Amino acid sequence: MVCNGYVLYGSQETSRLLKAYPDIASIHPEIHFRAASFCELSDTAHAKYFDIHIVVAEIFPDDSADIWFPVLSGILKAYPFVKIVFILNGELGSDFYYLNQIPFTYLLPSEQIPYLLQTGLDKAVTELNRYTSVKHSSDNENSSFENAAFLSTDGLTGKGRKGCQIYYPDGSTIYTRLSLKTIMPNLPGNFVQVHKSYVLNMNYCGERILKKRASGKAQDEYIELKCAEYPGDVLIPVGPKYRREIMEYVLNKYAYPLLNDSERKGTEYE
Amino acid sequence: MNNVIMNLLEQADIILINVIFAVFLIRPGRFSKKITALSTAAVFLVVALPQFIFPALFLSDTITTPGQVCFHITYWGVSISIEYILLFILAKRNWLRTLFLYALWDALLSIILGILAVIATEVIPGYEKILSEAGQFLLPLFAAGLALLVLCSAPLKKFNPPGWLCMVVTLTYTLGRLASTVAFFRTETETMQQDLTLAVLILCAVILLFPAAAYLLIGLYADRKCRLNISKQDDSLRDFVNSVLCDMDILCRKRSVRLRSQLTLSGDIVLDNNATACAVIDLLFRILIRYLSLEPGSLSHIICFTAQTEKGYLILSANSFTEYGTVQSINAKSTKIDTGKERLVPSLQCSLYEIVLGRLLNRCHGYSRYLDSDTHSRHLQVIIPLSLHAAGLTH
Repeated sequence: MVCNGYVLYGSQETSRLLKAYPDIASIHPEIHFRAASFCELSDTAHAKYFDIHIVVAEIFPDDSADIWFPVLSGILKAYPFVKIVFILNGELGSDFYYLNQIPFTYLLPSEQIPYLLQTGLDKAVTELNRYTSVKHSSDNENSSFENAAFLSTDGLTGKGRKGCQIYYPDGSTIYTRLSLKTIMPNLPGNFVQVHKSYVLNMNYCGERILKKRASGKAQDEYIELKCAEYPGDVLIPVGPKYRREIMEYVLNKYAYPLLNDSERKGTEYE
Repeated sequence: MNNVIMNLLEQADIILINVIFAVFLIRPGRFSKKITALSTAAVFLVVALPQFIFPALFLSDTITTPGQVCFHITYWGVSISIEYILLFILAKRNWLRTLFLYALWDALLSIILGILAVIATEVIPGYEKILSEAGQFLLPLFAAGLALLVLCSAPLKKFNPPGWLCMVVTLTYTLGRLASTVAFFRTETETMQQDLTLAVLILCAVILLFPAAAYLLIGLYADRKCRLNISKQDDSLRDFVNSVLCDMDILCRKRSVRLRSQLTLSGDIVLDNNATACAVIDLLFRILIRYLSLEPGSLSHIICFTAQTEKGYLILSANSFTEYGTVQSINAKSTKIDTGKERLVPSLQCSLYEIVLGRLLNRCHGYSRYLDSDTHSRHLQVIIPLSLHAAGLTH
C-alpha cells in the first residue's frame, strides 16, 4: 500500500529536512510525500481533498504553536488515523505543552534525520498497515464494497430476500445477492461487524450514542455515521455481542503508541 | 504387595499426566516450563504422600468407622483444593480457562483410557495378564498423549469460553469427581452410610459456596475501591484523571518509580461512573508497581501513562518498564536473584488485582488487554465506554 504523506515546516529556507532530502519523493518508497508550510495548509483547504496518512512536521522554537498546533489538530480531526512524526530543532520550551496534546508516532531531533527518520516512517507505515491492511481483495465487486460506508441486511428479511444493501457515503445504495457472511472475509480491516445485521466502515464511525428505551431502564447503543455527504442522520445499532470487537478496533486505531526514549523526555509528570 | 505396587504406579501416572498438562496446556504460564514441571511434580507428590506412607488406609474401600469417613472426605477436599490452587498459581492469566481445560483434560483422558482398555481387552485376549504393571503404567500416558493432541488442536486452542461457562464446567467436574470417589466406597452399616452422605453434602455445600463467597468478596473489594473515589464523582473527566494521577504520583515516588503521563482529555466531559474509572486507574498502577517490584530495586523503574477520549470511549494505556542499557543496570540484571519465592508473592498480588480490574470492567462494559510480551516490560490497555452523562452524547 502506498500512503499519502505531507511534509510540513515553518519556513522552507530553514527546513533541515528539505535540505537533507531536496527530492521529497525519495524520503520513503512507500509514502508519496507533498510539502507545504503550516501557513499554506492553514490558508488553503486543499488538504481536505487529499487523503493524508502520514505527516512529518518539522518544528523550530521560533515557530509559533498558534500556527502549527491548529493545523495538526485539524488534520487529526479530519483524519483520526493519521500518523505524525515530529522533527524538533532545539528546545521547544513552553510549546512542549502543545506537543503533548498531539498523539505522535515518533519524535526525533533534527540532527538525527539521516539516522532516525526512516525508522520513524517505517513505524508509522507499520501502524497504519495494522488496521488498514486489506484482508483479501479478489474481484472488482469486493473492491467496490471497500468504498462503502456501511452494509446492512435490515429490511431484507421481511421481503424474503437474501443478500444485503450496500450504502455509500454519497447516499447511493446498491443491492447485492451476496450475504454479509460471504462479503465480510473479503473486506478490509476497517470494516467491523457492529450488529447482527450491520457492518460498518469504521472510517465513518462517529460518536457512540446511548438511547433509552420507551420502557424500562435498558439503553440501546448506537454509532453515529460520520459522513458529511450522507443525507440525513444515520444511527447504526450496536449489538452487545459485538461491543468487544468495536473496542478492540478503537484500541488498535487510537490508543497511543508506546513512547520511546526521546519522546519520554519532557512528558514526566510534575 | 502387588496392590501396593499398582497403587504406586497409579500415583506416578497421575503425577506424570499432571506434569504433561501443566507444561503443555497452561498458557500463558507464570513460570518457565522447567519450574512448572518441577513444582507440579512436587505438589502432586506431596498430595500422594499419604498414599505412600499409609497405603493400608487407601487400599481398603470399605468404611467401618466415622473416623475413616472424616479422613477420606478431608483428604479428598484438601487434595483437590491443592490441585486448584496450584493451577491458579501456575497460570499467569486466564486461570479460569485453565481450570476449564483441566476439567476437559480429565474427562477426555477418562474417555480415551476407557476406549483403549476396551480395545486392548477385545484385541488381546487375557490382556490384563499379558500386559503386566508396565503396560498398565504406559496406557494412561499414551491416553494423555492423545488427549494432548486433541486439546492442542487449532479450534480448541482458539476457543475462549466465557467465564461463567468455565465456572459451571469446573464446578460440575468437581462434583462429578466427588461422586465418583464416593461411589468407590462401601459402607457396612446404615449409620456409616448416613455419616458419609452428611459429609458429602457438607463438602458439596463448601464447593458451591466457595466460588459464591469469593465472587462476593471481590465485589466488596471493588465497591470499596470505588467508594474511596466517590468524592471525585462530580469532577470533569480531565480533573478527575489529574487528581488520580496526583495520588498515583505520590504512590510511585514512594516506590521510587518515575511516572510520565500524556493526557488528551476534554475538560467538559463528566462521567457518571467516575468512581469506577478512578478505581480502574488506581488498579492499573498497582498492577504495574507490583510487576516492577519483581525487578531489582537498584534499577530505574518508569511507568508511562496515557489517557484519551475517542469515539465515546475513554482509552487508558499504562506501560511499566525498567531502564536497562547502562553498565550498572546490566550488572544488576545479571545479579538479579530470580527465585520462585521472590517472584511468587508480587506476581500473585498482580493476579488478584487483575481479577478485581476484570470485575470493575465487567460492570462498566469495558475491556482490557495485556500487551506484555517480555518479562521486563508490562503494558496494559483499558477501554471504558463513556456513559450517558458524557457531554454531547445524550440523545
